[in-house]
Amino acid sequence: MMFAAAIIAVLIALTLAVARALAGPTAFDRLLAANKIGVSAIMLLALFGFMTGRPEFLDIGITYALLNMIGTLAVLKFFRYGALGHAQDLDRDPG
Amino acid sequence: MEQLINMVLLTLLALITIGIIRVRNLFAVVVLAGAYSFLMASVMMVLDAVDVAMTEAAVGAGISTVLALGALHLTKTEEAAPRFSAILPLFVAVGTGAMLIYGTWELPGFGLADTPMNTGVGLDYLDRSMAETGIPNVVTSVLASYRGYDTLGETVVIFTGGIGVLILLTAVRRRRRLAGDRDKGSAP
Amino acid sequence: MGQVIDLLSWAALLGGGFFYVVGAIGLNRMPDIFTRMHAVSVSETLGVGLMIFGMLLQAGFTLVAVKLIIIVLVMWTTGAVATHALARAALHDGEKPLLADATGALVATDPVSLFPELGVRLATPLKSEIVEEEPVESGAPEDAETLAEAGYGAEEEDANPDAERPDSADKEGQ
Repeated sequence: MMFAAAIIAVLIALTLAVARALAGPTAFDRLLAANKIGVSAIMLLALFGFMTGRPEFLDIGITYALLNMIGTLAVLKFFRYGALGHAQDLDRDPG
Repeated sequence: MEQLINMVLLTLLALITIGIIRVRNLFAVVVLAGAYSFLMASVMMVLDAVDVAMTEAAVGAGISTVLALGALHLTKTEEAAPRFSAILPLFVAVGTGAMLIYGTWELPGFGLADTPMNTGVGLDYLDRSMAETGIPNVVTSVLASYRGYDTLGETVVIFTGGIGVLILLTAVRRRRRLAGDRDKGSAP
Repeated sequence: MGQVIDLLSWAALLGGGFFYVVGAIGLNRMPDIFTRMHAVSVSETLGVGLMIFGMLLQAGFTLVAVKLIIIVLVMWTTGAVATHALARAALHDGEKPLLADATGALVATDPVSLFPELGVRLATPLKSEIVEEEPVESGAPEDAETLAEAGYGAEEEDANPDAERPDSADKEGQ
């Protein structure tokens, strides 16, 4: 029952995050919202596992957390060096 | 509760899909696709297919994001305006969707006990899975144990695909760098 | 004893859910990207921490508890790193935070004009970002050799270099 309450909170937050991801004026807003969606997925996984009484597959949550980080950092790195960055080439001119 | 979670998640999925179609900035599309993949993984998890959820998150949010960014490095970040009207493609898509939905009417209802999948070999798996493999989740045991070679083959295919894309992307970058060297060489 | 733990779990989960939703509301209500980051960090630290604490109480001393602790540690560290990188990338890309001016009105201010050393620090690459220069390939024969090695015919040498870089013009245009 208590897990159900927390799940509802996470679902509300998820909806709000999706709203920001769709609205977000800059790509950074979308990225922030996407990061939050990833965290919500982890929390949903953990809470749902506890609610159904089978919290064994929590290690997937660890994978999600790492993936979330990798995705965010990849996008940011691209932003710094890619077509939107100010550098001409990745290897030539860092910064 | 499960139904509520599913309803919310699927609605959000539909919203994000519409967003992906509407947004013209390819960069935002990549980010939204990552979010989509995390939501889809959550749906899979609620459906109790844990390892499918993990694959979805790893491939969708991890590898595809990185590969799509690598491809984006070689193109523009703004999608070009469509040159033709969208009426005919829309018609084709709606027609296909209608036919697919019509096709699902013939399928047995979700979770009925007297359907082929619940009377035939499926029961066998449910009975013997725990004793034979020791894996508590039947989906996992079928995927990773009974069909282990099949899954290994899929993994090899996906790995090869990823390597191929990486080779393509680095080859183009290398060529570009060499071209840049020549530019510098020819400059006074 | 069991009831006390249940009560604590309730409190932690509800509190965590509250902070989680507060962060999401802040994500929508805050005016610019930097304040939004600030809002989200509330939910990613306090909200997640409290919820995991509630689950930890229910799990007891099991393997599940260890996994929960690993999850929360990974999330706390990676969340901070990702937020930092996000802020740096946003500043680098020219996002201007909304700051109050002398009259108290919110205006988009270039932070570099306030803190000149910030501009220097943004311009200097991080240690991890410094790429070592590859040995310079000089001379036409070597160049052609490398091209052939990479799988491109020598006849491409004659091609117009600009034709091979269709997006170079766009980049310079930005």
